Amino acid sequence: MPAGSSQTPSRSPFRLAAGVFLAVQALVAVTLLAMPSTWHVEAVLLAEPHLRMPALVNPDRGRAQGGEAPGWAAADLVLSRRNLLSIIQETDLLSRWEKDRGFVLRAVDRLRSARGPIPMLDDRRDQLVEILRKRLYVKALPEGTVAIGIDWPSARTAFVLVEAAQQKFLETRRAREVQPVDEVIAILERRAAESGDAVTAARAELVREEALLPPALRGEARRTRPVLRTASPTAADPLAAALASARADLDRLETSRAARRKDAEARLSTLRTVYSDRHPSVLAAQDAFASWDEPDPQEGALRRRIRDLETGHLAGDTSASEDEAAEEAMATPAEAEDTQRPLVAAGLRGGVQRDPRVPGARPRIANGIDGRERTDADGVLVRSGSSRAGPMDEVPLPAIRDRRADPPGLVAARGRLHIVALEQERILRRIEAARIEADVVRAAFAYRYMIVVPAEVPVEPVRPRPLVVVLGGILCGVVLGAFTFLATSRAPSPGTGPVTVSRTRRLGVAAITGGVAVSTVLLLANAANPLIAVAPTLLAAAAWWLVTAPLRQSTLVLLFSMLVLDAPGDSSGRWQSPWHLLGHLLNSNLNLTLPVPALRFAGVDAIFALLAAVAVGRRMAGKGVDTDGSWPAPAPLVGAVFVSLGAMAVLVATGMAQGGDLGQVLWQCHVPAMLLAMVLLFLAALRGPRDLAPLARTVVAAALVKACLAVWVRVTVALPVESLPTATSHADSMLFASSACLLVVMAVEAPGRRTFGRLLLLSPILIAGMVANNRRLVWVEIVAALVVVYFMLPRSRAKRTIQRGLVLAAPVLLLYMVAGWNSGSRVFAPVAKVRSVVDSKSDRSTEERDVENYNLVKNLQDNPFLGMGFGREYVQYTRGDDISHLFAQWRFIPHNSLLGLLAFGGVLGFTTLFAFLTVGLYLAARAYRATADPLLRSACLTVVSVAVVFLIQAYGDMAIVSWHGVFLLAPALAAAGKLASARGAWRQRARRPSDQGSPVPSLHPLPSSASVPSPSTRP
Amino acid sequence: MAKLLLVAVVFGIVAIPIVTSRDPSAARGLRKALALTAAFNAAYYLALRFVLPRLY
Repeated sequence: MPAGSSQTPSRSPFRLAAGVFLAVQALVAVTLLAMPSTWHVEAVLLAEPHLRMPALVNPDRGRAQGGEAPGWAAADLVLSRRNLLSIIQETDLLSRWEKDRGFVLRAVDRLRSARGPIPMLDDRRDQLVEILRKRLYVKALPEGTVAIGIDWPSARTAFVLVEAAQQKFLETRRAREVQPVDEVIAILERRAAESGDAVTAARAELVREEALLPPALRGEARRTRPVLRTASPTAADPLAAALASARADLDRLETSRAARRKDAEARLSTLRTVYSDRHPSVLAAQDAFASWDEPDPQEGALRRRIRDLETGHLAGDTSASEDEAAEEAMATPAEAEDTQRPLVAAGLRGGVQRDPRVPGARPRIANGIDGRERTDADGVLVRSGSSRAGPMDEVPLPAIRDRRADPPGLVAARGRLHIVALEQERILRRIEAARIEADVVRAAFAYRYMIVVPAEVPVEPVRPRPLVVVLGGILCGVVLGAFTFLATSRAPSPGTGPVTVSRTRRLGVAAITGGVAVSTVLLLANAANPLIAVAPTLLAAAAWWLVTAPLRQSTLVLLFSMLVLDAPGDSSGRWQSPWHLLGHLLNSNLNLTLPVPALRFAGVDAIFALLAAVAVGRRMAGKGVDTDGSWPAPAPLVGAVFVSLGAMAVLVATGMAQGGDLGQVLWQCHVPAMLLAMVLLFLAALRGPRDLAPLARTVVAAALVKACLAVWVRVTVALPVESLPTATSHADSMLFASSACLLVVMAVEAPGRRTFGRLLLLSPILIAGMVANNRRLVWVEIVAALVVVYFMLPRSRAKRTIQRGLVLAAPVLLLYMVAGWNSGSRVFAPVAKVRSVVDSKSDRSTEERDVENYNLVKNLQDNPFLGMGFGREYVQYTRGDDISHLFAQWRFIPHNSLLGLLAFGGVLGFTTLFAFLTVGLYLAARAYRATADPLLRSACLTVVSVAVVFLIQAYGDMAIVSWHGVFLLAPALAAAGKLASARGAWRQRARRPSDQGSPVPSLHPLPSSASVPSPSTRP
Repeated sequence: MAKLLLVAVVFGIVAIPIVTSRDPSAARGLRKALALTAAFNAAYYLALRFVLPRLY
């Protein structure tokens, strides 16, 4: 009887069960009466970018790129504190909230206010903001809709809140879309005012200059004053317009070149962070960047053209006759167009000329450099034929009066006035365009958001649903009643007289029943999906089984689950098994799946803690569930595990002392620490050789399941190997290789129809799985493990035959390798595999591994004795590919775990970290020599095979942080310890008192398997 | 050769306990295994330091 418990006559189990059933029904009734109803309201808006209206208004404008999607940041906009406060105020939510709460919650509020200070208005408002943030949701869906909804204890208030939130969303979006255009208009108007001042000043200056002229010329000068009298700069001064156009082109070109140069610089900078300076990509980017510093021919041509136009402009000002210029300046645009059709040779020097051979010919600005002269139909002399001649070469130009007689100050003042007047006109045009844009945006907004599903006052609550709660309550009552009946009608130890139940058991049953009943009823009443209410019952059943079942069973179930269930990211994220949720719960932190932020640990951690507590509790209580018939764990193995744990702690301290990151320490050490802890758990769980057969069957069964899954995924997920590199996971290589080695070793050590039949039947499935999983490392692991096994086998005729065969086949194999080394033929596919492993230049992946190995060796050389410690990333002496977008911890957890541990732990840290493996392998090899039983010998060889497979995977693919590594190596090493104890390969100095009554008392080496519990015996 | 040298750490971890397990005394064999593993790791480091650069 467990200490601290007492046995008392219990009530009738049937009565207890009936009482539990009735209690659950009462709980259901109370819940239905007291639980406030929840009402759901949702409104859906169709939000789509409306580009047609702006495009119709301004067809020349390019389509906006990278603009905001209509649903962009909808949740952030609506759920901002300012917005929620506004909603609270507009809907009078403070007073509504008091009325909407259920009477139970109102009673709780009254109790609180009676016992403590009444919350201030601001505090209550803050509370409501938080409540709204939790209950109000805004979802921008991919199909372009925005859903705004809420769950609230009052139907009317829910409707009002959703309406208000929807209105706020539209207002915010409207403000975001219209306000920027209004802001631009305001800026432009300010600039226009400044420009107007500049025009006034320039005009005043011109008047001052005119005042300096002789009185006879003042009238003419005033007549020649440039007057802003047309909307078109071309009509006012075509030469200036051409100049402005050329300058605008130059501006655009320079802006574009600057942007592209910046892009090239950014790309070069990005590549330099990824690659070394000699990398071809970096060199190419450098060349591309340098090319932007070279002069651009197009830009040069534009600059020349502007220079020419400027020269031409000034020349035109001084060469044209005063009368004609005045005539042109005072003329209307129509008159200018009708009466004068001169040409401007844009980009050419020379200015305005008149053909002396044609009387009355009008002046032209023509090429003055290398053009050939010609006379057009109007008798105008034009010099053309320049190499720069083009479509712009002949532009109509109004006649320009010769102003050479004007003083320079007057000419300059006139030019300045002209320029500022053009600038003002340009700004006024932009203001007009912006006003049109603002009108268009306002008009388009009405069509941009359409209410697809309007908010409505709901007619029935979403929770609780009385029928579901009542039916679920009945089912829950029946299940818990049955559980109570079974748990209280079976005493832990059969006795005579009335059935007795320990107090501890009764308390346990009551706690489980009460917890499951309350949580189930609450979930039935509150959960969106009533099926979730099954979870407490299932969890309680699983916990009950874990606590009561022998550890050898629970650990094997855990092992099978961890090997079979898919972890997040398996199958490259392209496929998930139906039970992936369980796999995610076990493999990744629970808070990633469950909405409880505090659950920052994996399900496997929780189960391990529970099983460890069970093991310790049973030992302390003296229960023999796990220890009866169990061989003791060898002290060196247990000691080595603690030494390795200590080494890990020292390396963590070393790393943290040098500025290590604790978060990264958890990434680096969590799984390795669990590996060591699992060795201890399996040592406590496995009794000895008789538990090894179930262990082997579990591992092989898991491998077969995963092999079938790999084939299924490869066949059904129609993706190329590049998109689906692994059908299941990288770590499954260890599972496949270990299982394959186990089957081979069994056939070698215990040859017979059964073992050969198993090998022939199961190995094709495993091979198919390995091929489907597409990992070359698995073949290396099998070959390496079998080579080690081969050297461990005693000399025999078969071994001699194999040796002779290998010697004879060596030349042929060598020829085959040489012939196929550079061949792409399928005949030489095995050679290609070998080459991809050993030849760095075979592919990018192998090359990157070499870079990583080189960096790790250099890091080891920096800290050879104790390493750099955990929590720090290794230094890149040669820059490899940056894979942080795929695996953020890539410099904390390198692919080569062995060299990584050498770099992080140094020689001393590495040796002590792997002390448990050295001891485990030593015990396995020693037990192998100490026994003649073929099944036990094959078990020992399997342990060695698993260790080799683990080490190869650790060398090539991060096995040290793989759960598969934990659940293959830990039971293997525990099995080695138990085998060493059972076969006397390691003598224990003393027995534990609890093992005195064990049915396996012998500690001496056993000459044969006669007195050893058979591995095939079921536990 | 460089790859062989790098991967030698795997065979060192595996081979040394297997070889020392032949010792008639279990405790002495275990001590040998641990001592030789430490010596091998030190030698491995020296090889990485002085031999590996010549093999690249």
